Amino acid sequence: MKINNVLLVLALASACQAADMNNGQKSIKDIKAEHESQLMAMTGVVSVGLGQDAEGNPVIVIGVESEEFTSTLALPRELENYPVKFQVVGTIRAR
Amino acid sequence: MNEAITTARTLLQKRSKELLSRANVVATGVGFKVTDGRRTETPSIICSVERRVPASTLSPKDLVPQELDGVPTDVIETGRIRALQSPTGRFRPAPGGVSVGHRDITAGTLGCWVHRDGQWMILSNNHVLANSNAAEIGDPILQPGPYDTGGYPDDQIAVLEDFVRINFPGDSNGGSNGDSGGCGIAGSIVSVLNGIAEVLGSSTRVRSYSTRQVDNLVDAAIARPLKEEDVLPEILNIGTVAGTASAQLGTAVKKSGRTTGFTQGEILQVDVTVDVQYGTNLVARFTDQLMAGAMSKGGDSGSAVLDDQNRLVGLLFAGSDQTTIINRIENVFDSLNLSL
Repeated sequence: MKINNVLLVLALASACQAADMNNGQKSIKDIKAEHESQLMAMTGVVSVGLGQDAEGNPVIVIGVESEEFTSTLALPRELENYPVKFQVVGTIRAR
Repeated sequence: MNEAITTARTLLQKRSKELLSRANVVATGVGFKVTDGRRTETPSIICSVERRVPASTLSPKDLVPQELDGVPTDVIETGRIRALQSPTGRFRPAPGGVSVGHRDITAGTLGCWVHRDGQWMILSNNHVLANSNAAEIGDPILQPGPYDTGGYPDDQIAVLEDFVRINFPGDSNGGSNGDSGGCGIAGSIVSVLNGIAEVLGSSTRVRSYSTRQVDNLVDAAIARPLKEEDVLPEILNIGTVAGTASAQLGTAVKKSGRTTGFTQGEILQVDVTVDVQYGTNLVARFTDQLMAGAMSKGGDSGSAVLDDQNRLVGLLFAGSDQTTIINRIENVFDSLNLSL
């Protein structure tokens, strides 16, 4: 089992290196994927997605349940050089 | 002027039956005659026809005369006139965009008709057709849904054929019908992660309760119609579906739903990971979702979402006052093996 895990970790590491070499920079999608579990675990955060700012530039959008969370949560303004925007999205229910 | 209108109205009362008996005439009324595309001041008897056809193709008895007892007539093309049916009504055959539901729910929307293995199927949400995992295959599906007075067996249109289970975290039943498969998968992910943590010498072990079960991609189900003649492969107020497409940021979208009818919006976010409440105390996490603005309300769940070329891009299933959350149609079709 342990040997398998070592191999898995090595495989993941080389895959990451290959990705870095190919792009030089991680994509906004990669950055979002890396951070979203942590963001989603914060009380009041209900969504994380990719959107655009007013100029059409890509942004990571964090959806919060209500206005109060935009001031009480310690949310990042950017993630690894990609801008982060907050949006009050309310409680999302199956309809 | 008023006198001329009164004359036309009195005349029409006497002659409308006779005019309506002519082939193609679907309505009669009094209005101002239109000549060369411009409205004149002349009151006339207006005959609405389904389709304008050359006078030479009509038998003399079906021709609308130029005038009736000195009052001029006019002929306008209106197409067939239908009652504007509410999407909460009973439809046979049934198009997309109307009320539907499992026997034990309130009501949702019949998204559209799709195919599986050459057979027509109703496409909607799991929580509309399969009662959020609680239903059994073969259960009756009603059109309209129970909240809209749909009753069993009179309004049964289909049977539940298949659904994609919604995974709820911390729910050892993996939903509500006793299947514990989802939990087993979560357990094995945790053990692999802990294996990695061990190798890396991490002091933080991943605990089972902090790792959710498998995230969801779709809230989808299909139902097989009892009768082929109940299938109307179009969507109310939208028309026929012209293929499928992959939605992008900024894609203009529209839907026809049970509660808010025809609405339009725009894809504002892609790649959305979102926690969605089911009932009062269940929350399920979905990934790879599309987010649009406010273009839906409760009961619109299951609506097909199309782009401006009438291509199917998604399946609406959730939302808030500010947003609408949509499954990507690629994921829906893949998970249930569907085609148009």
